[in-house]
Amino acid sequence: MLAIRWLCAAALIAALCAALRRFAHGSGRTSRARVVLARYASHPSAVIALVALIVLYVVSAFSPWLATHDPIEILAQALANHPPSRELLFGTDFAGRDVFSRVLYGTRISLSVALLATSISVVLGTAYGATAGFIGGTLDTVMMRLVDAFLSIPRIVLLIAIGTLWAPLSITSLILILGLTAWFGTSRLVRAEVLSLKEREMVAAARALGARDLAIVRRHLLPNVLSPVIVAATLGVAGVIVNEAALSFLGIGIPDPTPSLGNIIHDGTPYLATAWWVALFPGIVLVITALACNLAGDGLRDAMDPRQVDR
Amino acid sequence: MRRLLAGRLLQGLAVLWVVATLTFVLLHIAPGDPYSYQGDRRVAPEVVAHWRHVYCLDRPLAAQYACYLGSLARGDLGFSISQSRPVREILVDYVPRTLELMSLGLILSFAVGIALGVLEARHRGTFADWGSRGIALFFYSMPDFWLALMLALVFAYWLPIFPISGIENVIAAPTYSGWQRLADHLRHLVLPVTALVLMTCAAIARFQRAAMLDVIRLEFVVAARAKGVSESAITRHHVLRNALLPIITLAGLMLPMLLGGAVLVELVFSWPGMGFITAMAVGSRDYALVTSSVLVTSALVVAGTIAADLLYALADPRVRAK
Repeated sequence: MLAIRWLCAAALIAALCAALRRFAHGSGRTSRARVVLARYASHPSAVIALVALIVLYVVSAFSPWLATHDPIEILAQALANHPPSRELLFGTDFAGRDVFSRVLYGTRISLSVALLATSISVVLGTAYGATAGFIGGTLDTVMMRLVDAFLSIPRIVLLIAIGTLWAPLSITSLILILGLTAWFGTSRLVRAEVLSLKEREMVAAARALGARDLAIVRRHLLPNVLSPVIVAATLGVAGVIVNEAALSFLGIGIPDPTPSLGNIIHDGTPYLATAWWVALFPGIVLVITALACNLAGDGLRDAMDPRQVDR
Repeated sequence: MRRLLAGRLLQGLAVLWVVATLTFVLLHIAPGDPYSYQGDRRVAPEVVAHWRHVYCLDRPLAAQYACYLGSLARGDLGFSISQSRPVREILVDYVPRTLELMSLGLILSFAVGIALGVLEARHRGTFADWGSRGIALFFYSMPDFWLALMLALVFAYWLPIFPISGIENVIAAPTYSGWQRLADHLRHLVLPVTALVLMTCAAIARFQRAAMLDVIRLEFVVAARAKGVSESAITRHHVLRNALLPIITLAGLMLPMLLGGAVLVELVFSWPGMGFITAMAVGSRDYALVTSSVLVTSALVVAGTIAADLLYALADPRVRAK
């Protein structure tokens, strides 16, 4: 029964990949998305990364149907710290919970938290950077000095401080603080882009036609900063997922018994010498996720850079 | 040069003022105050009232802020409830250990990163270039704490080559002679420093490779090649010398990442540094200690950035002349 569900998931993944492939290489109207995707497809490492992300996404989205056990159910006291076997693929943790199912559910939680937090940080960073860059002058100086100050604090130290002050954090507040501390880099990037874009002729032309500031920002500036922002967001997901894991590893992230990749590693750390599998497998998933995001971000950067010559 | 230094110092102070204001705001909007949580311990209300009074928590907000900045300016970072001593004393004990780990990690990761970047640029497009970049990105993507855990698992548990935690062999150290003690200490440094180097050298190599490729395109390199200068001499004398400059700026930018990584690496290897003590303070909700670590790490980063800027000015006559 479970095998059939996994086959269905594999079929879904294959169908998604095939659809993307057909879209990239197919004939028909040439859109920007198609051009970007076709260029993206010429980087083998980026394609592998995208497939890995699709696999992670599908498997974690359907984790309730794909898990072999209940992730928080204690199977049996005698099954604590059981090594990996045919029945228990990734073994069990100190409480006798199935690590494989916990990793599946944990990936889902970690990915959702990272995606939501990154959305918050991208919106905030874009709004902040666009405001500073477009208005300029003293306001710009003050806003950017603030960002400099925030960037001088190692992110994880700031997160630890906030996590300690407000412990215990709910998942909502965790998403909020991860998003609220991840936008500094994006805002700098957007500001730099807006500064150069607002000197272009199209902005002068729009102004001559009587366009208002807000319309210029919306119609001319924001669409043009979209590419670097998308790249920054893709790379940002990798950073946020690792920071969430670090917080959960310290015991101030996702509260037990809800699994997240970080707190499964947290549970496995005291038993590292004897039950290495508990800390190993969620870490491998973390590395794959972060590596895939980094590779996909690099691929997107190359694919969306208009200065690159079309092949 | 002196004006540059003065300007950068002022900017640094402004950054620290913003960070101090941020920690003040965080402390103010957090539930409770630094002395309200006592965990399992019972502290006499007079003692709590005493600390509240010392740190002006019984006064209006503006006075609290002035008082907070004033005590920071005097170097008073508050009183740690979990260690029952002033935060400054704790930091004096623990920060040097972090600096030791950081400086070794910084030097080695730059040595490794620059060497990798030069080799990749020299052999660009080959399998070695591709492989080296892939492996570096792999380590770069690894969560620092997990990398540290896996190093401990492989090189301390499975192959017991290196010690798992601490700064020296607590039991045997008193019997060691000076050199034996140093060797023992170095053995304890290997795993934490390796973790720091592995996670940061990818970014440095990538930057160095890009900087090399920028210089390789320039005309004086073509001219040198036309004169018949050997490829390795070109790499060493013409390209590397010019491509090293931007790397100095990167040193300043890498500091937050390296310090953040050090926090978790120290925790995994029980290295008694600032990160370790901060992580320990989480469980006991030691407000004063965690917010001080925000201030101190950002001060270290600011100091590092200023040092990098000065180094850049020293190395590049074009900047000095301005």
